[in-house]
Amino acid sequence: MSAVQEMFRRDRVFDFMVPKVVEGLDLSHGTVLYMEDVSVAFDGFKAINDLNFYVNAGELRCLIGPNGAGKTTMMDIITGKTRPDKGTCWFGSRMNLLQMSEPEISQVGIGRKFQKPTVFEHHSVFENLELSMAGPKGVWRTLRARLSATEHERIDEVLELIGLQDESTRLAGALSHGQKQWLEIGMLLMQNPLLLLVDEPAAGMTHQEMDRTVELLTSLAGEHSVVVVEHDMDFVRALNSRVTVLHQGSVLAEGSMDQVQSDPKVVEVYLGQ
Amino acid sequence: MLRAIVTALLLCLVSPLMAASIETGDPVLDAAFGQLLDRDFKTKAEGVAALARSGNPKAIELLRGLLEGELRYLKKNKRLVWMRKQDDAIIAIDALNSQDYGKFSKRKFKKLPINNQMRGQIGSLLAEMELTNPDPAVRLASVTAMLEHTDPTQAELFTRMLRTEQDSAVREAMLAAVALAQLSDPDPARRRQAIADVSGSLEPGVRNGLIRLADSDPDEAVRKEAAKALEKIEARVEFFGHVETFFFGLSLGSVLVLAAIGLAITFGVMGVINMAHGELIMLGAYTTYLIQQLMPDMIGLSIFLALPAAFLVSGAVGIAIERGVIRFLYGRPLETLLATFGISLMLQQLVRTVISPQNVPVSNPDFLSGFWQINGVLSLTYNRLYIFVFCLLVFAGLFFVLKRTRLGLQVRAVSQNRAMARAMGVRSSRVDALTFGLGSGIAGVAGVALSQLTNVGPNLGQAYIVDSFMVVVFGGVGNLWGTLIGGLGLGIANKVMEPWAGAVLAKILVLVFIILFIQKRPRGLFPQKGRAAEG
Amino acid sequence: MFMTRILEGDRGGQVFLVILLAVMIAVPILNGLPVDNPLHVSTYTVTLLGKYLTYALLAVAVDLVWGYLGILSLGHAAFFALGGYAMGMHLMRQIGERGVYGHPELPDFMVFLNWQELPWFWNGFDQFWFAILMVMVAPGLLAFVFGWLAFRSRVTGVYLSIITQALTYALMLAFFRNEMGFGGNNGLTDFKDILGFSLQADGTRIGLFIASGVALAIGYLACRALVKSRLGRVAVAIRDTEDRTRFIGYKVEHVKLAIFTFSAVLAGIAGALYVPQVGIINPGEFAPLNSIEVVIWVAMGGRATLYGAVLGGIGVNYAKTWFTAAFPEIWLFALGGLFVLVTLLLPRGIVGLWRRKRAES
Repeated sequence: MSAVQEMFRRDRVFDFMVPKVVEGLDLSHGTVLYMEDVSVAFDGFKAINDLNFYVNAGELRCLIGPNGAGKTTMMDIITGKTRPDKGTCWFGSRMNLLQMSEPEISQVGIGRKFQKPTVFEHHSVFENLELSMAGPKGVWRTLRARLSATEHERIDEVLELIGLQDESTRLAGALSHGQKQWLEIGMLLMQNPLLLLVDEPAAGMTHQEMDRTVELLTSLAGEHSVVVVEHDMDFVRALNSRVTVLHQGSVLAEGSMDQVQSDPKVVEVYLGQ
Repeated sequence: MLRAIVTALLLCLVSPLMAASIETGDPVLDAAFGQLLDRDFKTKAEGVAALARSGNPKAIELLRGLLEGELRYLKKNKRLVWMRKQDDAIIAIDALNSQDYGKFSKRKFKKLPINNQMRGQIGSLLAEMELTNPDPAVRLASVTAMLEHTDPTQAELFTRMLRTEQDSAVREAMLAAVALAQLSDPDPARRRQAIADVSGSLEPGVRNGLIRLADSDPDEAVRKEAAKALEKIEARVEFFGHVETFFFGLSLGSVLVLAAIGLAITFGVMGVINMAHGELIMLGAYTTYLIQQLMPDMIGLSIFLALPAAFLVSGAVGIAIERGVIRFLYGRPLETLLATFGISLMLQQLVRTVISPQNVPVSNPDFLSGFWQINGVLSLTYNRLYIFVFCLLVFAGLFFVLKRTRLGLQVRAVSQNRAMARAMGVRSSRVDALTFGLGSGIAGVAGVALSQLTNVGPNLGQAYIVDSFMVVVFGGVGNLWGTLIGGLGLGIANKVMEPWAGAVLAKILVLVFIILFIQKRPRGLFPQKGRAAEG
Repeated sequence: MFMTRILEGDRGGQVFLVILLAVMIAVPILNGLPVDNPLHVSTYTVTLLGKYLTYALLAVAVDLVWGYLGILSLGHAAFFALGGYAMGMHLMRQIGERGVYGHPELPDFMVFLNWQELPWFWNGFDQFWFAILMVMVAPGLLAFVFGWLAFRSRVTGVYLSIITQALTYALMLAFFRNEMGFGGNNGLTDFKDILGFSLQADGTRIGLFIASGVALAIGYLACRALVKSRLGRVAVAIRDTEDRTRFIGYKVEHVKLAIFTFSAVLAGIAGALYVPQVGIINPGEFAPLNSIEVVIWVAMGGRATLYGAVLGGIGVNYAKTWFTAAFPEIWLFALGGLFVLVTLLLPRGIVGLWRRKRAES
């Protein structure tokens, strides 16, 4: 972030939230994620079957579906962990994710939070965030890296956003489950991602924690695009966003929560399980 | 009166010279030897012929003894004796009935002098007698020996013998001998014919003859034929050379497999790195030694007893290690590695203090010595053959236990999904102990096999531990087939490289190869799905 | 000062360095006392202490890759030995005409083997600076190549450890061969002097002792600085969850390679200081057992503390010296038992015990 841009944004509290400018990313068409006709099979089992999925820039989208519907596999394809057998997957209108490696995809601004919180247990909360910071990660650079004042501020801001400012010196391994989830979201935010893929954030949380998480995710939308995979229907309802239902590897229904819940196909799939 | 005494005395002095006679119990032999003692060499020759014709079973032995100068006679009792050394004295053993007559001074042993012509005569008579020996193996050995020194007169002998020879192997050798003799025939056409006859024969005598012809024969056509025949022979020799290398490789490989297969089980099933595995092998070898100490006269039986004993001893030690140490370190493979290394040091030192820091001697039973001569250039030693067969048997047995028995089923269940297996009622800790015991027991059995091949000392385990790990890592952890193929493959690779790299360098190359191979396939040749030691 | 910043928060390190400094000053003085003085420290003891210090540096190198990066290297003695051989080669060339055979160029063992000239790889070792360079380059290069191959294919955990064993074993076999040109199973020995100073002289021995101490201190500080930096935190992250670290964007293989190579260079330096003090280097130093022993020093002292490694390195070797003098039969029992005890009962080493006590109180 250059000094000029920083000056510009002085009215904003959360400076770091402004996503970085990524070269080659073209959001002029309004779509940040574009998946078309994607299919992948594992040992004969079709995990993803002619999937079409579009996310608009700045949108908060929920992805639901029964177990085995392919939600995690879909995320794997987006982040480059799995390559589909056919189909296309674009970031913006010009970046072909299928031709990029995992670290490259992570560098251009797609961040993923996994189901199981994987924080660095032996590091403090602060150190976790420091490690996740965006920026060059070469060996020599890292060795000589010193935390600048701006960077320190940034970490403090994220800490406040995720609600862990009082725990910053605590070892991440000692946090509660919900706190670990927030820390992970925080680590994700340190990378200034444009698109966040959040896998089951509400799992294992108390109601208060869930409320806070809804707030957090909602506030992220706009500057970021967020896709949330969830099972907890109350949580999804509270997010009040567009919902996509996945079933057997393809999209079954899409719309607001009410629309989707009254869709007979969806009812059959969920009740018939 | 005085004249009578003097004559008598003179007669007494002379008579020993004249009345030198030998009593053998067989009148024919007596007569023959009587002739042998005559001063006239023609009579001696007749005596030799008579001896050969005598039909006495000891005739061959006596003739040989005559040829080599070991056969003497004692004037005192007129018996033919062998002059043998015992400690510092010389004793006489009766040549016919093996009776020990005790010590004598050298002077009492009278010689039976022969000259070179007689030597030749005795030599060919002996050959002829051996050629008519009822045992075909003796005949074959005799013909083969004679191929070393070709001689046109022998051609005649063999041609004669061929008329009555039945055994095919002996016939082939005799034909080769005849042809070989004919290689020196003055007629070049006959020589070419002879070359054609011997082409393909692997006898070294034939090869030497052909080399001679190829180099220095006056006739060009003969030289060409000889060179061609030599090429054919070289090709065959090379082929059998490869076969032999392959065989050595299989044998080394079976040793590796035996050593590694116990490790494959403990490592693969339980994810436990047991650095004391080598010592468990060593304990098996020492068990063999101790059993042999208990029954020094029944070496053959000792091996058969040692097998179950070693299994039990090493198995028991293995179970003790598992219950005492490894049990507390599950899920921490690196710590297990260190702890078991400590145990290996202790076991080595235990053997050094309780038994001896030096190597101990372990004998091979008779059925393991000897070899199977397939042809002139290929012979396979029995002990290697047995080891290979043994390795396959152990492998089959283990396979059976793991696939067909209840214990095997439980072992496989625990290795794939411990929690589920426990939920189904499998006592996983008991299975762990038994699995470890099984793997260790097999190591003990491998030790018995190793004791027959190599020196047994406290460091035996150290020599095989790195190799065992390499086999397991290369073949794929937890996979029996992987261990078998990996082990045999590595053994063959090692032996193939040996001729041009030397034993040590070949070993180094194999290690480097495995290091590089692991880059490509980090899980080995046959990776196992399910639990593996991922550190 | 730079040093105080590195040692900030490192109580153990501070204590250790103070003790080291004290020893480095006291020992030469005590050595200078007359022999009958009860406080006299014999030159033999000076050399022994110097040897311990080089072992301690080796232990620190191993703790760096094991405690902080999670790589259990069971072949680090190979790097130690390579550094030792590089120094040994220089010292051999310094012998010149004073060898048994009196050949100005060729060391004794080459004359014995009827070689006519120096093999190409011995060139340059008559220069001290070249030898020092090689002390760092030889183990470093080996570590780099090996690491590049291993880390790139994501070999981890016990597999990696076994392969490091194979590496050191292969090197041992290779160096035992006379044809290699490194002295075969007799190794390199009979050194006369270093940089003109006789190796037998008290002064030289004290000098080497002090040099070992300095090397240990610098090595410790360097490792501590590395561990404190962000790179050190990345290393710990790699140790704990490699995949996650990779996911964040760190080039895990590069980090491992860099730290592994650095550790190998440290080990090489330790070896180079070891050889002039003990007077010999032979292929037995490559033995797999040696590498595993180093791991036990670190485990015993306390993994992932750096000063624990120093404690373990010096402590276990002191015990070994004492045991092999008093009860030689039992030493291997004791060592083996030590392995078992440490892994079962002292997962955090002696330092861990002390820490636990402090936490409880």
